[in-house]
Amino acid sequence: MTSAFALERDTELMLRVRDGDSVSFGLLLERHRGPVIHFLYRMVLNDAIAEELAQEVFLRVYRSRASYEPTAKFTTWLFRIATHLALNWIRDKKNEKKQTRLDEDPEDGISRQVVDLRPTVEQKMVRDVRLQEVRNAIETLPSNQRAAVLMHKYQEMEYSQIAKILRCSESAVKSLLFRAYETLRLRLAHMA
Amino acid sequence: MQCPIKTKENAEILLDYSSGKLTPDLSAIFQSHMESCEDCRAFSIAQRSAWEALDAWAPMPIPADFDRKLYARIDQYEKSRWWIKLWHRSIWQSGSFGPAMPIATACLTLAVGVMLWLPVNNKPAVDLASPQTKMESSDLEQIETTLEDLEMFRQLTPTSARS
Repeated sequence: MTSAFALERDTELMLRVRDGDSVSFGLLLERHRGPVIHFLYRMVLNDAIAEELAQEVFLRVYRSRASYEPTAKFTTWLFRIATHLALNWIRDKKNEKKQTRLDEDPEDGISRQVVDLRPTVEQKMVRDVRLQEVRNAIETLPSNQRAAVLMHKYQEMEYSQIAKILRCSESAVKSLLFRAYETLRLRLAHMA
Repeated sequence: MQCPIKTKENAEILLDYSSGKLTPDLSAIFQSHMESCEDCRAFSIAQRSAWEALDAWAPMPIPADFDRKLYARIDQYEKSRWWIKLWHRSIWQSGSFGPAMPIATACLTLAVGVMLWLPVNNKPAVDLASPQTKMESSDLEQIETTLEDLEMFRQLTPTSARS
Protein backbone atom coordinates (compact mmCIF):
# COMPACT_ATOMS: atom_id res chain seq x y z
CA MET A 1 0.00 0.00 0.00
CA THR A 2 2.71 2.43 0.96
CA SER A 3 6.03 2.82 -0.73
CA ALA A 4 9.17 3.57 1.24
CA PHE A 5 9.02 7.14 0.01
CA ALA A 6 5.40 7.52 1.06
CA LEU A 7 6.17 6.00 4.45
CA GLU A 8 8.94 8.48 5.02
CA ARG A 9 6.72 11.27 3.81
CA ASP A 10 3.85 10.34 6.16
CA THR A 11 6.14 9.98 9.13
CA GLU A 12 7.86 13.24 8.31
CA LEU A 13 4.52 15.00 8.02
CA MET A 14 3.24 13.55 11.28
CA LEU A 15 6.40 14.59 13.08
CA ARG A 16 5.86 18.11 11.77
CA VAL A 17 2.26 17.97 13.00
CA ARG A 18 3.63 16.97 16.38
CA ASP A 19 5.74 20.11 16.31
CA GLY A 20 2.65 22.22 15.65
CA ASP A 21 2.63 22.48 11.86
CA SER A 22 -1.04 22.62 10.85
CA VAL A 23 -0.20 22.65 7.13
CA SER A 24 1.31 19.18 7.45
CA PHE A 25 -1.87 17.97 9.15
CA GLY A 26 -3.78 19.25 6.14
CA LEU A 27 -1.46 17.34 3.80
CA LEU A 28 -1.89 14.13 5.79
CA LEU A 29 -5.62 14.63 5.74
CA GLU A 30 -5.57 15.10 1.98
CA ARG A 31 -3.48 11.95 1.45
CA HIS A 32 -5.43 9.61 3.71
CA ARG A 33 -8.93 10.97 3.99
CA GLY A 34 -10.14 8.98 0.95
CA PRO A 35 -8.77 5.57 1.95
CA VAL A 36 -10.01 5.97 5.53
CA ILE A 37 -13.52 7.02 4.47
CA HIS A 38 -13.74 4.21 1.90
CA PHE A 39 -12.53 1.61 4.38
CA LEU A 40 -14.98 2.76 7.03
CA TYR A 41 -17.84 2.92 4.56
CA ARG A 42 -17.25 -0.68 3.54
CA MET A 43 -16.95 -1.70 7.18
CA VAL A 44 -20.13 -0.07 8.47
CA LEU A 45 -22.10 0.03 5.17
CA ASN A 46 -23.47 3.45 5.96
CA ASP A 47 -22.14 6.64 4.41
CA ALA A 48 -23.15 9.00 7.21
CA ILE A 49 -21.66 6.78 9.92
CA ALA A 50 -18.52 6.29 7.83
CA GLU A 51 -18.07 10.05 7.57
CA GLU A 52 -18.62 10.51 11.30
CA LEU A 53 -16.14 7.77 12.18
CA ALA A 54 -13.57 9.08 9.70
CA GLN A 55 -13.79 12.49 11.35
CA GLU A 56 -13.27 10.85 14.71
CA VAL A 57 -10.18 9.07 13.33
CA PHE A 58 -8.55 12.31 12.23
CA LEU A 59 -9.63 14.11 15.37
CA ARG A 60 -7.90 11.43 17.44
CA VAL A 61 -4.80 11.74 15.27
CA TYR A 62 -4.84 15.47 15.95
CA ARG A 63 -5.46 15.08 19.68
CA SER A 64 -2.65 12.57 20.09
CA ARG A 65 -0.13 14.43 17.92
CA ALA A 66 1.95 15.54 20.88
CA SER A 67 2.72 11.96 21.91
CA TYR A 68 3.28 10.60 18.39
CA GLU A 69 6.31 8.34 18.03
CA PRO A 70 7.17 6.84 14.62
CA THR A 71 7.38 3.26 15.89
CA ALA A 72 5.26 1.83 13.06
CA LYS A 73 4.03 2.89 9.64
CA PHE A 74 1.75 5.89 9.88
CA THR A 75 -0.93 4.03 7.94
CA THR A 76 -0.75 1.12 10.39
CA TRP A 77 -1.45 3.51 13.24
CA LEU A 78 -4.16 5.31 11.26
CA PHE A 79 -5.98 2.15 10.22
CA ARG A 80 -5.66 0.69 13.70
CA ILE A 81 -7.65 3.64 14.99
CA ALA A 82 -10.13 3.35 12.09
CA THR A 83 -10.55 -0.41 12.57
CA HIS A 84 -11.00 -0.01 16.30
CA LEU A 85 -13.73 2.59 15.83
CA ALA A 86 -15.48 0.53 13.14
CA LEU A 87 -15.40 -2.69 15.16
CA ASN A 88 -16.74 -0.85 18.21
CA TRP A 89 -19.54 0.65 16.14
CA ILE A 90 -20.46 -2.75 14.68
CA ARG A 91 -20.40 -4.30 18.16
CA ASP A 92 -22.60 -1.54 19.59
CA LYS A 93 -24.97 -1.82 16.66
CA LYS A 94 -25.31 -5.55 17.22
CA ASN A 95 -25.99 -5.03 20.92
CA GLU A 96 -28.53 -2.36 20.10
CA LYS A 97 -30.31 -4.71 17.71
CA LYS A 98 -30.37 -7.47 20.31
CA GLN A 99 -31.80 -5.17 22.94
CA THR A 100 -34.48 -3.46 20.91
CA ARG A 101 -35.43 -6.40 18.66
CA LEU A 102 -36.92 -4.03 16.18
CA ASP A 103 -38.42 -5.27 12.97
CA GLU A 104 -37.11 -2.42 10.94
CA ASP A 105 -37.39 -1.82 7.29
CA PRO A 106 -33.75 -2.17 6.16
CA GLU A 107 -33.99 1.16 4.40
CA ASP A 108 -35.21 2.91 7.55
CA GLY A 109 -32.32 2.54 9.89
CA ILE A 110 -29.42 2.81 7.55
CA SER A 111 -29.19 4.77 4.36
CA ARG A 112 -27.10 2.80 1.93
CA GLN A 113 -26.24 4.99 -0.94
CA VAL A 114 -24.08 3.82 -3.78
CA VAL A 115 -22.00 5.68 -6.27
CA ASP A 116 -24.12 6.34 -9.32
CA LEU A 117 -22.38 7.21 -12.57
CA ARG A 118 -25.69 6.91 -14.45
CA PRO A 119 -24.98 4.97 -17.65
CA THR A 120 -28.22 3.42 -18.96
CA VAL A 121 -31.13 2.31 -16.83
CA GLU A 122 -30.51 -1.38 -17.59
CA GLN A 123 -26.80 -1.14 -16.92
CA LYS A 124 -27.54 0.67 -13.72
CA MET A 125 -29.99 -2.01 -12.60
CA VAL A 126 -27.57 -4.82 -13.36
CA ARG A 127 -24.76 -3.01 -11.61
CA ASP A 128 -26.91 -2.21 -8.59
CA VAL A 129 -27.96 -5.83 -8.26
CA ARG A 130 -24.36 -7.00 -8.46
CA LEU A 131 -23.27 -4.35 -6.03
CA GLN A 132 -25.99 -5.28 -3.57
CA GLU A 133 -24.92 -8.92 -3.75
CA VAL A 134 -21.32 -7.96 -3.05
CA ARG A 135 -22.41 -5.80 -0.12
CA ASN A 136 -24.61 -8.54 1.26
CA ALA A 137 -21.77 -11.04 0.94
CA ILE A 138 -19.38 -8.71 2.75
CA GLU A 139 -21.99 -7.96 5.41
CA THR A 140 -22.33 -11.62 6.29
CA LEU A 141 -18.65 -11.86 7.19
CA PRO A 142 -17.70 -11.63 10.86
CA SER A 143 -16.35 -8.14 11.51
CA ASN A 144 -12.68 -9.10 11.88
CA GLN A 145 -12.81 -11.14 8.65
CA ARG A 146 -14.49 -8.21 6.97
CA ALA A 147 -11.76 -5.83 8.13
CA ALA A 148 -9.05 -8.20 6.92
CA VAL A 149 -10.63 -8.61 3.48
CA LEU A 150 -11.18 -4.88 3.03
CA MET A 151 -7.60 -4.06 3.94
CA HIS A 152 -6.28 -6.88 1.73
CA LYS A 153 -8.48 -6.25 -1.26
CA TYR A 154 -9.09 -2.50 -1.33
CA GLN A 155 -6.19 -1.03 0.65
CA GLU A 156 -3.78 -3.60 -0.86
CA MET A 157 -2.03 -4.09 2.45
CA GLU A 158 0.53 -6.80 3.14
CA TYR A 159 -0.33 -9.61 5.55
CA SER A 160 2.19 -8.21 8.04
CA GLN A 161 0.55 -4.79 8.12
CA ILE A 162 -2.95 -6.24 8.49
CA ALA A 163 -1.60 -8.37 11.34
CA LYS A 164 -0.26 -5.29 13.12
CA ILE A 165 -3.53 -3.44 12.69
CA LEU A 166 -5.63 -6.34 13.93
CA ARG A 167 -3.04 -7.17 16.60
CA CYS A 168 -2.68 -10.79 15.64
CA SER A 169 -0.11 -13.00 13.91
CA GLU A 170 0.41 -13.14 10.16
CA SER A 171 -0.75 -16.75 10.13
CA ALA A 172 -3.94 -15.68 11.91
CA VAL A 173 -4.51 -13.04 9.22
CA LYS A 174 -4.02 -15.63 6.46
CA SER A 175 -6.45 -17.90 8.23
CA LEU A 176 -8.99 -15.06 8.54
CA LEU A 177 -8.58 -14.25 4.86
CA PHE A 178 -8.95 -17.86 3.76
CA ARG A 179 -12.17 -18.28 5.69
CA ALA A 180 -13.49 -14.93 4.48
CA TYR A 181 -12.71 -15.57 0.83
CA GLU A 182 -14.18 -19.04 1.11
CA THR A 183 -17.48 -17.48 2.17
CA LEU A 184 -17.23 -14.88 -0.59
CA ARG A 185 -16.43 -17.49 -3.24
CA LEU A 186 -19.54 -19.42 -2.30
CA ARG A 187 -21.78 -16.38 -2.15
CA LEU A 188 -20.45 -14.72 -5.30
CA ALA A 189 -19.91 -17.84 -7.41
CA HIS A 190 -22.99 -17.16 -9.53
CA MET A 191 -21.60 -13.78 -10.56
CA ALA A 192 -18.77 -15.35 -12.58
CA MET B 1 5.92 -27.66 -6.63
CA GLN B 2 3.95 -29.15 -3.74
CA CYS B 3 0.22 -28.59 -3.93
CA PRO B 4 -0.69 -25.71 -1.56
CA ILE B 5 -4.19 -27.11 -1.09
CA LYS B 6 -3.10 -30.62 -0.17
CA THR B 7 -0.04 -29.73 1.90
CA LYS B 8 -1.51 -26.52 3.42
CA GLU B 9 1.96 -25.02 3.05
CA ASN B 10 2.35 -21.62 1.44
CA ALA B 11 -1.38 -21.60 0.95
CA GLU B 12 -1.28 -17.83 0.54
CA ILE B 13 0.05 -18.54 -2.96
CA LEU B 14 -3.53 -19.36 -3.87
CA LEU B 15 -4.75 -15.94 -2.75
CA ASP B 16 -1.74 -14.04 -4.07
CA TYR B 17 -1.99 -15.64 -7.51
CA SER B 18 -5.63 -14.68 -7.90
CA SER B 19 -4.98 -11.13 -6.75
CA GLY B 20 -2.00 -10.72 -9.07
CA LYS B 21 0.46 -10.29 -6.19
CA LEU B 22 2.76 -13.21 -7.03
CA THR B 23 6.13 -12.52 -8.59
CA PRO B 24 6.34 -13.54 -12.27
CA ASP B 25 8.61 -16.49 -11.38
CA LEU B 26 6.31 -17.89 -8.70
CA SER B 27 3.33 -17.22 -10.88
CA ALA B 28 4.84 -19.30 -13.70
CA ILE B 29 5.62 -22.16 -11.29
CA PHE B 30 2.09 -22.12 -9.92
CA GLN B 31 0.58 -22.01 -13.41
CA SER B 32 2.62 -25.05 -14.31
CA HIS B 33 1.37 -26.80 -11.17
CA MET B 34 -2.25 -25.94 -11.97
CA GLU B 35 -2.00 -27.74 -15.32
CA SER B 36 -1.86 -31.00 -13.42
CA CYS B 37 -3.88 -30.04 -10.32
CA GLU B 38 -7.59 -29.72 -10.77
CA ASP B 39 -8.21 -28.56 -7.17
CA CYS B 40 -5.85 -25.61 -7.48
CA ARG B 41 -7.26 -24.75 -10.88
CA ALA B 42 -10.84 -24.73 -9.57
CA PHE B 43 -9.81 -22.76 -6.51
CA SER B 44 -8.05 -20.13 -8.60
CA ILE B 45 -10.95 -19.70 -10.98
CA ALA B 46 -13.43 -19.28 -8.12
CA GLN B 47 -11.12 -16.97 -6.19
CA ARG B 48 -10.46 -14.78 -9.20
CA SER B 49 -14.17 -14.59 -9.85
CA ALA B 50 -14.85 -13.46 -6.28
CA TRP B 51 -11.95 -11.00 -6.50
CA GLU B 52 -13.37 -9.46 -9.67
CA ALA B 53 -16.86 -9.31 -8.21
CA LEU B 54 -15.49 -7.24 -5.34
CA ASP B 55 -14.18 -4.75 -7.91
CA ALA B 56 -17.79 -3.82 -8.62
CA TRP B 57 -18.00 -2.09 -5.26
CA ALA B 58 -17.00 1.48 -5.94
CA PRO B 59 -16.07 3.65 -2.99
CA MET B 60 -18.44 6.28 -1.67
CA PRO B 61 -17.71 9.83 -2.78
CA ILE B 62 -15.83 11.95 -0.25
CA PRO B 63 -18.27 14.40 1.34
CA ALA B 64 -17.60 17.92 0.08
CA ASP B 65 -17.66 19.47 3.54
CA PHE B 66 -15.64 16.76 5.28
CA ASP B 67 -12.65 19.00 5.98
CA ARG B 68 -14.79 21.92 7.12
CA LYS B 69 -16.62 19.73 9.65
CA LEU B 70 -13.37 18.22 10.86
CA TYR B 71 -11.67 21.56 11.36
CA ALA B 72 -14.77 22.79 13.21
CA ARG B 73 -14.42 19.84 15.60
CA ILE B 74 -10.72 20.51 16.00
CA ASP B 75 -11.49 24.14 16.72
CA GLN B 76 -14.07 23.07 19.32
CA TYR B 77 -11.48 20.79 20.89
CA GLU B 78 -8.93 23.60 20.98
CA LYS B 79 -11.44 25.81 22.77
CA SER B 80 -12.31 23.16 25.33
CA ARG B 81 -11.21 23.57 28.93
CA TRP B 82 -7.58 23.15 29.79
CA TRP B 83 -8.11 20.13 32.02
CA ILE B 84 -9.96 18.28 29.24
CA LYS B 85 -7.05 18.88 26.89
CA LEU B 86 -4.61 17.85 29.59
CA TRP B 87 -6.59 14.66 30.04
CA HIS B 88 -6.57 13.92 26.32
CA ARG B 89 -2.85 14.56 26.08
CA SER B 90 -1.95 12.57 29.14
CA ILE B 91 -3.81 9.42 28.17
CA TRP B 92 -1.97 9.32 24.87
CA GLN B 93 1.50 9.45 26.37
CA SER B 94 3.25 6.50 24.81
CA GLY B 95 3.72 3.61 27.16
CA SER B 96 1.99 5.16 30.15
CA PHE B 97 -1.17 6.94 31.12
CA GLY B 98 0.78 9.88 32.51
CA PRO B 99 -1.13 11.75 35.18
CA ALA B 100 -4.53 10.73 33.76
CA MET B 101 -5.16 7.79 36.06
CA PRO B 102 -4.18 9.59 39.27
CA ILE B 103 -6.30 12.59 38.23
CA ALA B 104 -9.25 10.31 37.46
CA THR B 105 -8.90 8.50 40.76
CA ALA B 106 -8.66 11.78 42.68
CA CYS B 107 -11.72 13.22 40.92
CA LEU B 108 -13.75 10.08 41.52
CA THR B 109 -12.78 9.96 45.19
CA LEU B 110 -13.65 13.64 45.59
CA ALA B 111 -17.01 13.16 43.86
CA VAL B 112 -17.92 10.16 46.04
CA GLY B 113 -16.79 12.06 49.13
CA VAL B 114 -18.96 15.07 48.29
CA MET B 115 -21.97 12.86 47.57
CA LEU B 116 -21.62 11.08 50.91
CA TRP B 117 -21.03 14.30 52.82
CA LEU B 118 -23.91 16.31 51.41
CA PRO B 119 -27.23 15.98 53.32
CA VAL B 120 -30.18 14.43 51.52
CA ASN B 121 -32.25 17.15 49.89
CA ASN B 122 -35.61 16.60 48.24
CA LYS B 123 -35.31 19.68 46.11
CA PRO B 124 -33.69 19.27 42.74
CA ALA B 125 -30.04 20.08 43.23
CA VAL B 126 -29.67 21.71 39.85
CA ASP B 127 -31.75 23.71 37.47
CA LEU B 128 -31.70 21.60 34.32
CA ALA B 129 -32.49 24.56 32.12
CA SER B 130 -29.71 26.75 33.38
CA PRO B 131 -26.78 27.54 31.06
CA GLN B 132 -24.38 26.29 33.73
CA THR B 133 -25.99 22.84 33.70
CA LYS B 134 -25.90 22.71 29.94
CA MET B 135 -22.24 23.57 30.01
CA GLU B 136 -21.59 20.79 32.54
CA SER B 137 -23.52 18.37 30.37
CA SER B 138 -21.24 19.28 27.46
CA ASP B 139 -18.24 18.64 29.70
CA LEU B 140 -19.64 15.24 30.62
CA GLU B 141 -19.89 14.33 26.94
CA GLN B 142 -16.27 15.26 26.50
CA ILE B 143 -15.35 13.13 29.49
CA GLU B 144 -17.20 10.22 27.94
CA THR B 145 -15.25 10.71 24.71
CA THR B 146 -12.06 10.83 26.70
CA LEU B 147 -12.90 7.63 28.52
CA GLU B 148 -13.46 5.99 25.15
CA ASP B 149 -10.02 7.23 24.11
CA LEU B 150 -8.59 5.76 27.28
CA GLU B 151 -10.21 2.41 26.58
CA MET B 152 -8.92 2.44 23.02
CA PHE B 153 -5.46 3.38 24.17
CA ARG B 154 -5.48 0.45 26.59
CA GLN B 155 -6.31 -1.85 23.70
CA LEU B 156 -3.79 -0.35 21.31
CA THR B 157 -0.89 -0.25 23.74
CA PRO B 158 1.17 -3.45 23.75
CA THR B 159 1.16 -5.22 27.12
CA SER B 160 4.94 -4.91 27.30
CA ALA B 161 4.77 -1.14 26.87
CA ARG B 162 2.28 -0.82 29.72
CA SER B 163 4.20 -2.91 32.20
